[in-house]
Amino acid sequence: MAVAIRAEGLTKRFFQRGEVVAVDHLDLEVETGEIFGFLGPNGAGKTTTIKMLLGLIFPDGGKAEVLGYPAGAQEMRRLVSYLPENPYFYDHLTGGELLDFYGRLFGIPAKDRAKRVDSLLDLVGLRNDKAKQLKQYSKGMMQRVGIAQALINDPKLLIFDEPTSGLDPVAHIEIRNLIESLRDQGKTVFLSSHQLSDVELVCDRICILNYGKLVKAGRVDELVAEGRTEITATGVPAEVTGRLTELTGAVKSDNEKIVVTCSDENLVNDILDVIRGARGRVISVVPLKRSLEEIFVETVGLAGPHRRIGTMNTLTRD
Amino acid sequence: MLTNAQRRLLFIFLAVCFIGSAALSEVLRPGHQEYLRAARPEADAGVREKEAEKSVLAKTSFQALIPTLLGVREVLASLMWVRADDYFHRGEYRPILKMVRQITAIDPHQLDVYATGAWHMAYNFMDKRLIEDGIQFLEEGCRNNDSVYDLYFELGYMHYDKTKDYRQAVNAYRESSTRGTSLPGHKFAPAYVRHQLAHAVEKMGDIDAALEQWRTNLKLAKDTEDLGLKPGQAAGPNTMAARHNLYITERRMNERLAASAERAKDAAEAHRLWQKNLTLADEWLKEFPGHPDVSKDRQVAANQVSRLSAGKLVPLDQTDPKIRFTITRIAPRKLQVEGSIDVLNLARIWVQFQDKDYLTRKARGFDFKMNECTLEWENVQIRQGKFKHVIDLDRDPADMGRQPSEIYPLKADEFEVVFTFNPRLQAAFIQDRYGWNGEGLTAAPELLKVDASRGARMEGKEYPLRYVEKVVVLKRDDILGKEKKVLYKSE
Amino acid sequence: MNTWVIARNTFGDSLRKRVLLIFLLLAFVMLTLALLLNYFTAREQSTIFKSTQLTIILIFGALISITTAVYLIPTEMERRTIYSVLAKPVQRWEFFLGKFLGGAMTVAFMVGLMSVALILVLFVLAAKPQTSAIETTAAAFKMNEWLARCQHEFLLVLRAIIVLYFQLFIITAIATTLSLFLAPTVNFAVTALIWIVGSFQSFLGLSEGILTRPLYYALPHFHDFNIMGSIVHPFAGFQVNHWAYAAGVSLYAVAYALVIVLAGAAVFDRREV
Repeated sequence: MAVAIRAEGLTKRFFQRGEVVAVDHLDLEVETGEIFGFLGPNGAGKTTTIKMLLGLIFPDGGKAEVLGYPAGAQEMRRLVSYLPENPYFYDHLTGGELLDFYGRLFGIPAKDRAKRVDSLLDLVGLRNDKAKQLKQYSKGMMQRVGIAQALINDPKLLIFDEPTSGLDPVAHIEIRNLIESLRDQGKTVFLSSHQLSDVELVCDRICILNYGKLVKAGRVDELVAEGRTEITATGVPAEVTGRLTELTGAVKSDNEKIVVTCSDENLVNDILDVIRGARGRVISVVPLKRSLEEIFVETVGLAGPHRRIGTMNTLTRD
Repeated sequence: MLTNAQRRLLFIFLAVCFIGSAALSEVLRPGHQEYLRAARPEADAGVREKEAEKSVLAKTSFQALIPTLLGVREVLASLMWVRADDYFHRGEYRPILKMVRQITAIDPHQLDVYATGAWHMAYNFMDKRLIEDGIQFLEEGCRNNDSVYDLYFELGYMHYDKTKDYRQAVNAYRESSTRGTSLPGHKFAPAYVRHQLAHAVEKMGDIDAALEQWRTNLKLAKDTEDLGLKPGQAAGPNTMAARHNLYITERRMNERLAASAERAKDAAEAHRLWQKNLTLADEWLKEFPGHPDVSKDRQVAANQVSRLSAGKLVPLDQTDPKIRFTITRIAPRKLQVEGSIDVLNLARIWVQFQDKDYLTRKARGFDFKMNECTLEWENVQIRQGKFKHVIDLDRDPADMGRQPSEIYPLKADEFEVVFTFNPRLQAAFIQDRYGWNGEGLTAAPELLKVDASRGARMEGKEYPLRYVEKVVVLKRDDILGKEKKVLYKSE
Repeated sequence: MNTWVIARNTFGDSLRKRVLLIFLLLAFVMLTLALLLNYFTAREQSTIFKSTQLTIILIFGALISITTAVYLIPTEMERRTIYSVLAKPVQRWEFFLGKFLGGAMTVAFMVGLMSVALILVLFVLAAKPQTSAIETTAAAFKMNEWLARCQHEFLLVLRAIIVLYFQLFIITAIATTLSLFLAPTVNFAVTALIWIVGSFQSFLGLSEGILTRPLYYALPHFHDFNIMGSIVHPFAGFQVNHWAYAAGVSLYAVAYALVIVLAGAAVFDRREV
């Protein structure tokens, strides 16, 4: 599979009352056609990374390639689109004018532009607000028009920074569906988000960034499935319970019922054999899945005095 | 992001632009300096400094500021002029003197500031000493705005109306008539400038030249009409006025010469001149039948011709006006002049009060003039052979709240009161009686003045001007003393 | 092409700035105030009117130029509108040049509006009989004379406005480029200072010394743009080919502004946003 984004040792430092390493030797690979979740707490360096990929700021070390071009190259920007976090557009324009403006920047001929603007407004459900000035748009409408502008050039790679923030639940679902349909069209989506539930639902792979460092990466199904199996049984004699405890170390007994948690798949059959051998009755065998949120919290830790929430805000305006 | 090669190109282009801009600014420099030069005549050969020194306002530190005003000089001058005008409308004349000087120093092309400022000096202050400053101010304005007629015309009018110096008036009007206007596309001064010139030439006494000027005016007016040019675009269709003035000047000359001939008992010459006027009127009436004024003129001429044809010569004797008067101090600084003069009703006698050596004293500088010199005059009317006038040196003639001593310092040791009866400055019917050149005047030799420089030229012959003048010298104490006292009484 | 797209968008954006409209309104009020000078002669009125109004247009034009230009780039950064634009295939220099041109177009539009007002008032004034201080007999109104005067005034004002505008063109360029380094308020003061120094620099004598000569060329020659005398006193006989001079000074402005703006573009090209 071709690679849409590749970063090697990408590093960015800012200087403000001392040096802050915003992105620290980041290695990243996003494959073509996947939805890639880019996670991390506030100030982890997500937006800084995105800006480097787009050439808005320049790395201090390492290098990045996007769609085979150096990050920020003119040719690359022709094929990429970007939806900034909390997008704010020229609010003296109407929705239609704004899309037309961006269409011009891509050099789309007038005739195609008009058609494309209309179909995009249809897509994001702003058809009726085409002639309304952006300053009259609600936050959700702004987000939608932002998504529409990101699609004006029919991009191969879409970089979304918090695309669902500020949207109501229904809109959430719409955007999620849209992102999935984009993948179905063969596009790559690079999704930076706090909405872990969204990410979990749509992303193929994720990575988690903390303090500018990559702390976890992998396929979503693998990450969440990296769990244990819970076996519930009744009628198990107490001495057998002791054996099970030796096997797994996690046996809870509640009257007649016991719950065995096993984190080694290979042991599941052995446990079942032991229960059955003791004439116990197996009620359920459930593979436990972890939520992405759990993984996230586990990875970056809970907010505590050591966390630098907002450190980067003043520097990168994310 | 630009590649390094592109950046190099950009910097090369940038350098080219910079060198281009520097080169262009060098190309523009002469033009800029011309705009600058023309706006700073005070820097020219120090002429202005010299003028300013002896004029109303000596060079002030204000003028040192002028160079820094580039870019706002015109607007600053305009705004100051609005302010000065405001003072005028509120009756506060005194700040205006200084302001007009400052305004024209900042922007020497403010024609109306020169014209109005000079007018303030010569007229509104009612301080006779400032008339010459008004004239100097206008002369400076003319130098700074030599291409337009306007200020030369104002200068001519000031000599014509205020100082009665017709020779200077003619010079100024002549300059004016050769200049264009300040309005777009106007290459020639308006017709009234040339008309005014002709009037001044006549008043100066050179009737031959005046006639020539009227003929020129007439021709120009006709040409303009023939060309169908619109008024204002050229001279204006003043054909009728020029024609009429030419007629009057010629008629008046013949009348004056005829009076002179008759006084010399030359009946044939008088007849010839009246006959000329008859012909003149006939020619005019042929073109404009029934013209009321000319019909009257024709009747007068016809009567004279028939009288002279009948051999009835009425030679007038020379008149001695026998001027006698008393000068009485009625209060400190108040001199009453009362007397008799044997001339026709409504004639005027010029009474001038000044330092005994005013001309030499005031030449010592503007400040000295304003602090030390005194000058006042009045053209006093004569009724039934009598005149009475108070030379009041104890007031502000313009009621501007000035101390009388500011206008009339009375610092000289001796003063003179000059009484002049000049036939030239009289109405036409009075002129006829005593002769336009004073041929009909006689007086004691010490009183009768003959001035060839102010004489006349008619039909190629020169006539000196004769007038009567009596000068009385007074001591300063005579004027400042308290009780009522007769200072002078004619024998 | 992109430059033009951005310039047009900037123009549209700037026109909606309330502060500019306030400036424009103030300028219009002052323009009409001049009509109160009715007790002066026609020539005085025209002299006073033209000089004050052109100065008003210059000052308000400069205010509008600086106010517009100092915010062109900072507002884009602050509102973060710049990200979505620069993520498009737009060169940095295209963006910078486009913002500057948009600002310059805004200034042109504003100056144009004020000039139209000025010219209309001058046309009204030109209908007043042109008399000297002494000859006060009112002349009858003549249509073709009035038209001739209007044409004359129009050409004068046109020349004045062209030269005036190119002065503002340089001011706009300076403020736009300085906005890469200075906060808007500081930039406002610095640009205004450069304007003032540049206007009076022929009196600073910088062109005299060998050491100061580079500074002389580096500073904008705003003093060259002062042709007010020839506008207010067209009769005054300046030995200059007025239109050639106006063209030259405009060309100078374009060359100088290019230096400033391209230098800004070079900096912006490597600038992180």
